[in-house]
Amino acid sequence: MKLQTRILCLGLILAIISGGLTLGIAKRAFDAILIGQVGQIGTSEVNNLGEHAADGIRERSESVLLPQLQSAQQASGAHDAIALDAAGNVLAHTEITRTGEHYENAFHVDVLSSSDTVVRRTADMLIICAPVWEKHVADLGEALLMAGAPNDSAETRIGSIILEIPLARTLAVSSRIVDRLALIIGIIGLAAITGLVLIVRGILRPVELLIAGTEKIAQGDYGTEIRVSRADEVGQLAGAFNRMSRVLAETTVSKEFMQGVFSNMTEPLFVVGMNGQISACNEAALALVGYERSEVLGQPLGMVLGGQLCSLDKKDVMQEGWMESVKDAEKVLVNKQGTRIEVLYSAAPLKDVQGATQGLIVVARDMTERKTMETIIRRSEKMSAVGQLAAGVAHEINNPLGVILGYAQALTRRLPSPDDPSAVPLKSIEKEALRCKNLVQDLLTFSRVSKVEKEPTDLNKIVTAAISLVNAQARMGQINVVSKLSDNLPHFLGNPNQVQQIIINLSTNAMDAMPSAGTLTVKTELRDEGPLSWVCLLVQDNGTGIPSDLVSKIFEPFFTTKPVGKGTGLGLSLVHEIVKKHSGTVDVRSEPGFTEFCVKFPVRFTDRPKEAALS
Amino acid sequence: MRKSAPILLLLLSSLAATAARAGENVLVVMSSELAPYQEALAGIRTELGANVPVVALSKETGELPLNGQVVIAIGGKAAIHPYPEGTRLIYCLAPGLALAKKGKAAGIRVEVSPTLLSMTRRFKSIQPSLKRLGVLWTSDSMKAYLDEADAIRAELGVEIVTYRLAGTDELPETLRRLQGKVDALWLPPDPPLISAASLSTIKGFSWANDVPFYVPSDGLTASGALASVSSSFRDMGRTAAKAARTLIEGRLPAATIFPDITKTTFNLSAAKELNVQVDQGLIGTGDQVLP
Repeated sequence: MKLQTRILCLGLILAIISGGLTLGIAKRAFDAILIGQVGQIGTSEVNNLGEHAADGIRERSESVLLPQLQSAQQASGAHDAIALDAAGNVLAHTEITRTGEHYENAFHVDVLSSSDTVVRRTADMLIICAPVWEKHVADLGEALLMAGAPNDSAETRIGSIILEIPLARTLAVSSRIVDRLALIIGIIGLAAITGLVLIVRGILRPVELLIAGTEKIAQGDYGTEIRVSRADEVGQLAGAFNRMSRVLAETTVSKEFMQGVFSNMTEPLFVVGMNGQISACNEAALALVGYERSEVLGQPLGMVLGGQLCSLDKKDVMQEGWMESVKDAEKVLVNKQGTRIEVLYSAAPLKDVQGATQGLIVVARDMTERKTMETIIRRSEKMSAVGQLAAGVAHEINNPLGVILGYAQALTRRLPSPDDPSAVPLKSIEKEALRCKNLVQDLLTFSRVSKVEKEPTDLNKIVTAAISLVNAQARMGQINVVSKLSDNLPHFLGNPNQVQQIIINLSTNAMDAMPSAGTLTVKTELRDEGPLSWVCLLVQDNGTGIPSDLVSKIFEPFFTTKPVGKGTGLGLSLVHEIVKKHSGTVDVRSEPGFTEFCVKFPVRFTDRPKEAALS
Repeated sequence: MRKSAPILLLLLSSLAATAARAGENVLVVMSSELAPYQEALAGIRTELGANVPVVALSKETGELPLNGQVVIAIGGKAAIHPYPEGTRLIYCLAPGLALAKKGKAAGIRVEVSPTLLSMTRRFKSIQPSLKRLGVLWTSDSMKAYLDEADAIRAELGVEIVTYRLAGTDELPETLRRLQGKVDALWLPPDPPLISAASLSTIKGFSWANDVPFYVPSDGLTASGALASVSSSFRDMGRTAAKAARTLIEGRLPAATIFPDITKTTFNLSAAKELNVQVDQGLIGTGDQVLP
């Protein structure tokens, strides 16, 4: 409950209690005053009546008494007026049917036995009884009749006068006064409570501002200030609050800010408690391990990271040396999908302001991409070196080969007859020279880095042409060639000759992998991956497959598994280089009985409709 | 219309002439010029015309200008005035006064209240359970009211229980004797009984025993009566004027004449004290209602 409401409730309760008490006391006081007044009037009236009615009492005459009683009744507002003899017999009663009754109950006996005027109050009636006395005065020779208290013992009581005055009207007057008083108290109380509310609001308003300001600071809005133009303690408190807020703004980094830094870090980061369980981690960490946050928090770090880091589960490691700093240790972890991921693992103890270790901060940087890039760079450097070497060698060899081939051909033409004994050697020289020339040509092609002329190229057309070239060799090897060409394949910027070279090289390799028959499948298709569309060439065979340990080497120059003289080791290297020059990619997927090379060429106009691209 | 208009004018002028002639043969003698007497005079003038001669005994000290006219005396003093032998006298507003016959002079009394039958009819409507109506009286003049007791019993099934008192001293004892024997009391316009003490005694008895009492004047209703059924002073004067015209016409009216118009005043606080539920519709017909 708010303080303002509490004060208001308290004020209201106090007002009600004090008002009620006041009214109760006032009611009693008014009742007492008014009834006292009535009693006084009644006493006066009954004493007066007693003196006048004494004759009637002595004579026991109702006709004398009744008018007097009625007169007194009217004057005092009594319900009844009664005249009794000394024995308690009713001599006259304003309610005439009660004349002749005898009053003998305890109340009346008590009242009638009193020697003085008695005032008794019942619940709704004020009963006033005055004795009537007779005194015989010898000097006068007659009796004096008196009412009220006896003056001396010579007086003889001859009867009593009773007035029964109803209090309903008196109490009603008292109630009306109290009602008015209640109204006045209510109005005053209402005004007081309203004033109290205004005062409390005035006092609490700065407190409310302080609360609002504190909540803002709690939400990280440092520097929040409140305006309180008061010089009292509340004003001083507001000033202190503003100073505190400014200091906080200048010295404190908000949790929100830290959370932002933590969440937006690109490096996966785990915070581990002293119990070895992960207490916090960022988005990059979740992406690395592939788990949901709820699956990670509270779990042992080793269990989440797995792989080489699963030993972190061991308690002895946790207790001894586990909290020591580790920097850039290459480790392999296994994510939720079971993929092994190479990471650069760093860990440092998390210490509080006093230097006490509170846990461990672990950063596990994913090295997959970096490793891939390193491989690419190494391969590229190798290619570059091989290319330069090949270009130099080819250039130096090409001219002598031209001379050798030219002279060999010239000598062959000058032979007198085909059966000349020099014909076979010369033919061999020509043949080998030609083979060397082709090899040199491949080397030149391999090394010709920036001399590719590109034009819009129809992959399906090139595939068709290339298959016609390899069909003869396929038939010799009992290989079935299947082509599955996609319709609506867009053109891409490429060099048709080099693309054809890719198809021929991959097909030749595939056929070499199927020494005893098989099926060579050549497919084309359009793929949308990322922001680009890709024209894909798929060359599949059902040959022996590539051993997994050799897959990473097949694109290296001069790497071949074929017998000496059968392969130069430049075929796939050439494919790789041509693809690279077309900004494409080449991937291999191989297992025993199935190998697939996937070559992708980017289509530059993916935002256009396919029809437009086709045109 | 053209034919009937002259006839109507003739009729009206004839009536006016008759009234004027009757007025010339009547002398109104008032005890004084008190307001009730003036009101009665207004009733006479309504009936006999505005020119009827009037003498107020409180002002006139000489001999009355009597010349064989019918005298309508208003008030007790005017009623007992020594008129010449043979004066035809009709007196009203003289409650309790019953003049003895003097020769041929007709002492025709106009009563203050309507007939007891008509009043009992009204009491019965106010108090449907009324079976026995007590009537306390002292003066001989009240006998005229009681003549209708049989008719009342026959018509309304209400028995009139009468007690004649020698004086008001007997009132308490009489009331005690009436306890349980009557359902209501009617206080006739009997002057000895109409006093503050008597009314107070009757009220005390009435309220203590739930026996409603009725009074003959609306002015007395506030003394604690449940209701009053009476006639107005104006009606009394008008009734006296009618009787005068009858005499002038040579016919002799009844010795006691009762006003024929009643008015009712209710006292709701008395009804509450007496535990009497008076029908609201009936209260609505009252000429006056005291809260």
